[in-house]
Amino acid sequence: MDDLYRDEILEHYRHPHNFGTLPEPDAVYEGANPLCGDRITLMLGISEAGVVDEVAFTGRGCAISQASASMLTDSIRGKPLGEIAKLGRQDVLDELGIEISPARLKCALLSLDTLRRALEDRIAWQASTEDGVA
Amino acid sequence: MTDYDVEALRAEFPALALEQHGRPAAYFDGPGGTQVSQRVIDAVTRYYLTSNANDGGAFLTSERSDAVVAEARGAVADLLGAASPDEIKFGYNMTTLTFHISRSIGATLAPRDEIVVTTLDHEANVSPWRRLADDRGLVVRTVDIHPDDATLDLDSLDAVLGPRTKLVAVGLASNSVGTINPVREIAARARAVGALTYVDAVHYVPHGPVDVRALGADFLVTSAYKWFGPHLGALYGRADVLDALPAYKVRPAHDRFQTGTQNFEGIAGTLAAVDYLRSVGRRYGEVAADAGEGGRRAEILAAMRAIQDYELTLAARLIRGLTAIRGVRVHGMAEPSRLAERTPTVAVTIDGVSPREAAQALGRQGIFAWDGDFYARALIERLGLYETGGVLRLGIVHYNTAAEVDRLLEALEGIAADRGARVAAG
Repeated sequence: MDDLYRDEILEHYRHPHNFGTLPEPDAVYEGANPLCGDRITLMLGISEAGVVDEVAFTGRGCAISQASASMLTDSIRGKPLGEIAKLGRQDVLDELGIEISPARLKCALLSLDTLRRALEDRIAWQASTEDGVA
Repeated sequence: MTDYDVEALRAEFPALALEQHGRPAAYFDGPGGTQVSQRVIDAVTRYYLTSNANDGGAFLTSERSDAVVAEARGAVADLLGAASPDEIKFGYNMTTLTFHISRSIGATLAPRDEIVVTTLDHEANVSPWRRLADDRGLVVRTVDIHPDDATLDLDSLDAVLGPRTKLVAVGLASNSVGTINPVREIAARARAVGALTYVDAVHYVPHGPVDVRALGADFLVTSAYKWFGPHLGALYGRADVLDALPAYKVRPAHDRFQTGTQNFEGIAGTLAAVDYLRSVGRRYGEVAADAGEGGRRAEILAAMRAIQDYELTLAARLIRGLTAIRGVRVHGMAEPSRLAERTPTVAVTIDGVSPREAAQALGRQGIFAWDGDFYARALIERLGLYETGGVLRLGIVHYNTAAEVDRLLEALEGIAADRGARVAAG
């Protein structure tokens, strides 16, 4: 069972889904794991209605960090922001499906962390421009 | 990639076969220095047999010496995630490198400038800065710890950082209690006030991956003998920071920060130690060769991840066992949920038994462990353990086994029980 999941992770890692950049993203964040240097840059295109209609990432690092980003970007495409905000650590770990050692949790959750920060930054940016207008 | 095979790795380390009174030696002294693989021994021997000369000459052995230094710098650059081999400098050891570079850094500082050190650090990342402060009229400020779990108090960091702060000296992990420090965060706060960050990574490097650029470290020092190589120190300095420093060196020397004739045989052995780690990565890790990482760096990262995962299983076993022994106290983080915040280096005391007595009792059984303060004098004092001989330090590295951990726990149980029996009889 574990091997099956492991193969799926390696497949996502070797051929990541949504790998690339968006020309005009509505939200961007570069997340990094400070000790090993795993990196993910996540870009989101968000519609007027608050739906993530485009998503792309680039990155480098271990199989778990990159596969996790590939899977997470698959799962948020087409979803409203309200639903994405509810995604938790366990959802990401369930999706990966293998046992993650404590040392590797940061690798597995880098994509979720990056996603949250991308959305926080966007909200902060919107607030600051609204302040500017007022 | 196959499952981590500790016995296959152990077979490459001749010293692990040592016996004492018919029992195999159990090395829990890794934080003080590790054993070396046959590759390292062979590389040192081969250097003497085929390459022994000073560098910079126009003949075979000198050219080979130049080549081994260049290759080893590249290897250590990949171990640490440096941008270029030119950012790596070799020296006698971390302490000597730090005293040396502190002189250069000091030449750029003015009286009343401030340097920040921590209570958690090894003296090698404290004393050079204190001496520099004495020489140049600088002010040293100290970051305190939370004594309950031996982690750095970041509020106390904010309290000492200011416009006069020029350098923050901090360890990546504590050599005594194993705490891994949030160095990226610390370096970011240092940078925000215009200060450089000098990281002592000597204890951390054998236990997990390092990326100097992701950490935001301006300097980072390590010692090959802690990661299965010879007694040699290496310093990473960010290129633009090094270029801006005045160097103390003899006039014609071609390298600004490597002074005098180098320990070429040690550098050859260091290169072999990195090659050993690469081989661990190829065998037991997931090598990210197609993810934009160069081959050697990818192999090293794969090795360090595999090693980290394996060591964590042993650390969990050790700490669980220690907390179950009556009379044994763990100093530092002991919660299973916080294993990823520490290295597998565990400091303990045993009620009624001095650390030296405990180390002697273990030593008689062929179990090697250090006692004392390990030059983390300020920490041991802060924990109130200096007067009683410090702590017993149980250090796990990637060649230790679960059976060794069980043997250590059994021995400690015996030492604690003997003491309990003596107290009851008295």
